[in-house]
Order: sequence, then C-alpha cells, then structure tokens
Amino acid sequence: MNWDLIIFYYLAIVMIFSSVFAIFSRHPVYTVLLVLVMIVHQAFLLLTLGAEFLTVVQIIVYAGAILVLFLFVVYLINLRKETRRNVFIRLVSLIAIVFLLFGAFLIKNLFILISLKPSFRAYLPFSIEEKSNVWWIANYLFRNYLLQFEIIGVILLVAILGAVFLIRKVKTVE
Amino acid sequence: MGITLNFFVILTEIIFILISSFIFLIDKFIKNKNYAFYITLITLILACYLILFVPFGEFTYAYKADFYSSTLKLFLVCGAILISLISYNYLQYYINLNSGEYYGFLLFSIVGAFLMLSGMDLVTIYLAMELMSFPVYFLIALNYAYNRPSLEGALKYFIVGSLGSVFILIGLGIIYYFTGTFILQEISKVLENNLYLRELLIGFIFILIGFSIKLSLVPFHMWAPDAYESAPVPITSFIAGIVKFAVIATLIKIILIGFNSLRIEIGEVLIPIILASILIGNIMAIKQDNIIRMLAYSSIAHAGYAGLGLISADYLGYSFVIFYMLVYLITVIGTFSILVFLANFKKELLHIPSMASLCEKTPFVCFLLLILMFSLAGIPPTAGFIAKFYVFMSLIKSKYVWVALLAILFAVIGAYPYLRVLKVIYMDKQEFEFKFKYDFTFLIPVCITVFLVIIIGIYPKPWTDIIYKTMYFYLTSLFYTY
Repeated sequence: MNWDLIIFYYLAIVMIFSSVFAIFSRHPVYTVLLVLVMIVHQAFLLLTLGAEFLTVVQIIVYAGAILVLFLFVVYLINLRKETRRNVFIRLVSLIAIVFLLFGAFLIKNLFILISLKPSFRAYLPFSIEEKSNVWWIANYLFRNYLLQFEIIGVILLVAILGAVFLIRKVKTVE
Repeated sequence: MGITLNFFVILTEIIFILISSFIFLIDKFIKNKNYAFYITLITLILACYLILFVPFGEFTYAYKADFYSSTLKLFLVCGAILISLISYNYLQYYINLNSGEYYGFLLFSIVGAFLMLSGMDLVTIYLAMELMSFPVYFLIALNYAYNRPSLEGALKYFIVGSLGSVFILIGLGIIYYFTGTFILQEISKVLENNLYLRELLIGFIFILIGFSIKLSLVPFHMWAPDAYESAPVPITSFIAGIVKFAVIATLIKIILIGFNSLRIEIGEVLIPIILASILIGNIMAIKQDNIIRMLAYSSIAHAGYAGLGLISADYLGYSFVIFYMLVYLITVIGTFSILVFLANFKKELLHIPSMASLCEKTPFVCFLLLILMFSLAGIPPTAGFIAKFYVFMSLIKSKYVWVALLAILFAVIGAYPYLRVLKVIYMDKQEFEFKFKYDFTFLIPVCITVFLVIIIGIYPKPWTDIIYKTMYFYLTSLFYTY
C-alpha cells in the first residue's frame, strides 16, 4: 500500500460522496458548498498527476468564479419554496433505476471495472519534467486537439445564444 | 508528429458556422423574417456543391473527409433541404416561431452532424454530438410560444441527453485507460493484438448507451414521445430523421474502424435492447391518439429495425442499416410534411380520430399519406418493405434466425397503428369544413419523398449498391493504403 493509492482513494471517495450528497441535499446552499468540496478534491487529484497548472485553473475558475456565481444566484433568488422534495427527484431516481437495470447486462464484467488500478501516470504520453505544464497544454490544445478546441468554442457559442434566447420575452399564443 | 492544417477540407463546416453566426447577428435588424429561410436554402445548396467538389483529406487527425462521410453528408443535406422547405411552409402559419434563430440553430445542428460523420477520433465524435444536440434542445423550447408544455419536453430531452453524454465520457475514460489513445485506428491496432478485449467491450458498451439515448432505444426512450410532441412539427422530423441517421452512421463508423474485432460481441449485447425497442415501440404506438406521439413510438421501433443489422455483424448488414435509416429519413420527412400541411389548417387535425373523412376533402394528400404509411408499415411496393426485407435477410444470413422471427412477429403488430390512421381517414365519416391551399413548399418535399419511396421500393439495387460500395471502398482504403 503506497501513498499514491491511499491519496487517490481518499480523493475519489470524498468526490463521490460529496457529489451524491450535493444531489440529495435539500438546501441549495449546501448543494453549492458540497460541489465546492468536490471540485477542490478534483483539483488535488489533478495535482497527484503532476498537473499543477490545471490544478490552479480548476481552483481559480471553478471554485473561485463559477461557484461563487452560483452562490450569488442562490442568495438572490429566494429558493425556499423549492427545497421540498418534488416529483422531479422521483423522476431522476426512476431513470437511475432503469440505468441500474441495464447495468445488470454488464454485471459479469463489472469486476474488471472495480479492479482498475489508479496508475494513470504511466499512460501519460509525455514526461512533464522535460517541459513545463503550460507548454504541454498549449502543444496539445493548439496542435493535436485544435479541431476539438474549436468545436468546444462553437458549442459554447450555441449555449450562450440559446440561453439568451430562452430568457427573452415571448408573446404566448394560447 | 505531422499535423496537416488543410482548411480547404473543412470549408463546408466553416461556411455553415459563419453563415449561422451571421444570421444571429443581423436578425435583430431585419423586419421580414423570411430572409433566414432563403439564406439557409442557399447555404444548403452550396453545401451540396462543396461536398461534391471539395477534395478528400485530413484536418489534423481528428477530421477526415472521405468517400463514406461525404456520401452520407450528401444524403443529410438533401434531407435538410426538404426539412427547411417544410419549415418555411409551417412558419407561414406559426408566425411567432418565424425568427432567425430557428434557421440558425438548424444550421448549427447540421454542422454538428457533419463533424460527427467525419470525425476520426472519439473526442471529436463526442463533441460533435453535443454540438448536434444542443441546438435541438433550443429548437424544441422554441415552441413555447404556441405550446407551453414544450419546455418540459425540451428539459426532459436535455437531462436525458446529458446523462447520455456522461455515459459516453465514462466509456471514453475506460478506453483511454487501456489504449492510451482516442483515435479509432489506434484503438483497432490494440484490439488486433488481442489486448484488453473485454475491457474495451465494456468501454464500448458505455459509448453505446450514450448513442442509444440519442437513438431512443428502449431502456432510454422515455424522452422521445414528449420531446417529439412538444417540438415544432418540422423539427420533429429533424430529430427523427436526420439526428438518428447521423448517430447511427457514426456508430457504424466507430464499429467499422475502431472496434472491428469486437463486432460479434457488440451484436450480442445489442439483441435484448433492439428486440425490446421494436416490441415496446410498436405496442405503445397502438394506444396513441395523437399522431405525432404515435410516430414517436414508431420511430423507436424503426431505430430498432435498423439496429437489427448491427446484430448481424457483417459489412453487408451494416450497409443495410444505413439503407434502412435512409429510407426511414425519406419516409419520415414525407409523413411530417403532410402533418405540417394538416397542422397549418388546424392543430386538432393531428389527433387521429378527428382526421375522419379527410379523404373526401383532399384525396390527393390522403393518397400520398397512404403510400407513406404503407412504407412505414412495410407493405411490398414501397421502400419500407424492401429495407425491412434486407435487414431481416442479413440477420438470417448470420444465423440469428430466432431474432429475425421475433422481429417479424413484432413488425406485424407494428402494422396496426399505421393502418389505423388509414382506416380513420378512408372509412370513418364526419362533417367538417376544410379549406386548404396546396403550397409549393409543401408539394415539393412530399412529392419528392413519395416518388423516392416508390422508386426505391421497385428498384432498390442502385441505392444499396451505393451504400455498400462506399463502405467497402472506405474499409479497403483505410486498412490497405496504397
């Protein structure tokens, strides 16, 4: 049992449980805070891979900017009415049950998934020690994964347009 | 590592993105909203030209324009032209929907389908699928002005679709863990050395779950009737026809290039899903009174029929899958253009019992609907029969006779809902006023599709040959480079 494994399992278990509790907690502020816990642990998971730059970006962007924005929204909109458990959660759990039933097809192979060892580092196609983190990220984003990077840009454009378009005033015809 | 940045190859996609952004930019300043339709039509015709004449090649290694993807893109663009025509017809009567956003999102979605068809890399395919489905969510929500519950359908589709994306990402993670790459050809190299067969099968099954959510195969079909019903009618034909066509063609591409050695196991995994979706789709379609809900369940069943070819696990069967989806695309566009024609007059006409004695008012349209419904049910002189015949034949050839027998049995059940519509139209009597106007934008799509349905039904050989040859040349050119 080496330290790598212990740290990995600690981070993984905390991430799983904090995201499960985030889904099932009734108070929106708790939800946001639990997601914050999850994201910080995710950042440390990246740190164990030696990706310092991504760790910092994760904490600054997700924990620092996006979740604080979520907290503001939660404070500004009075969500107290919707803290009750409603039909939606039952719907989600129904879908989850359906997926679990489908998982029964996989059950004879499931042990393989459980026996995965967290040795991702061996699969990194480059050595981080040679060049800096930022150099490798730039190399991969703007050379090998250029097209994917551009597609993500277009997806974000569509998402922004759609969000703006959904909140506009509509003359409803009934 | 050599990376080629050949921008000429992805010219079609670039032009699409530029033009749809342009529509979004100028939409505020133009009063007459029909301009967006003309721009879309010109873009799609230009895309036909570009697909035919832009050279094949690679853009990085994530994108490859080749024979297979270009042929399927051409089919897609032709379908999209017909859909934009019926959209124009529909939006004349539903003015509030008529905005630049409608066509802008439509174009973005088609870009996603294009990128998906020519992606050579699992990440590209995943992202392109997101790009294809995001605009569709918004297009469903667009109907909010006329039908308040449409937001519910859009949200349901969005939640189930993002669940599917999560499954695809898990599958990508597993595959990357064992192979260290996302590129399909590299994965197939790992598989050819008989390494990690079961592990990669699990990874592929996770990807398959994400794809079957988009195809609305059975355990994941809950969103389909609601989303179909709440979308504007032309968009429903877009979801049922073009999105499913692109998704299933990409699935076949992933299997052919990446997971070729696993295709028999993949077929075995698919058997219960496919049979269940044919059975449940057909049985649920019987009870539906709303014709769009009925067609939604029937589209679940039709995705199942197409999937029968995936079970058969040989190249001929795969080509018949694409042929089946092509026939379904044609038929569904024709059917929905007739529904647009009916909905333009009165929304209540989409309710099946109120369609009674329609044949006395418009015998011509009813005859066309008869042919299309026969094609959906699979009755001989039409294309639907020949497509079903080929798919069952490929199953029997690869020794899955019991699956074929069950599927034929379920197909008999599935004939009922379509014949019920015809029975109501031709035999039931009812008094009502019906003022109609045959419009060019209605007549062109419906006549073309009915003509194609009959032509393919009578003489299917050139069409199946085209599809089989694209796949065959594709495989040879990929694996034995000269």
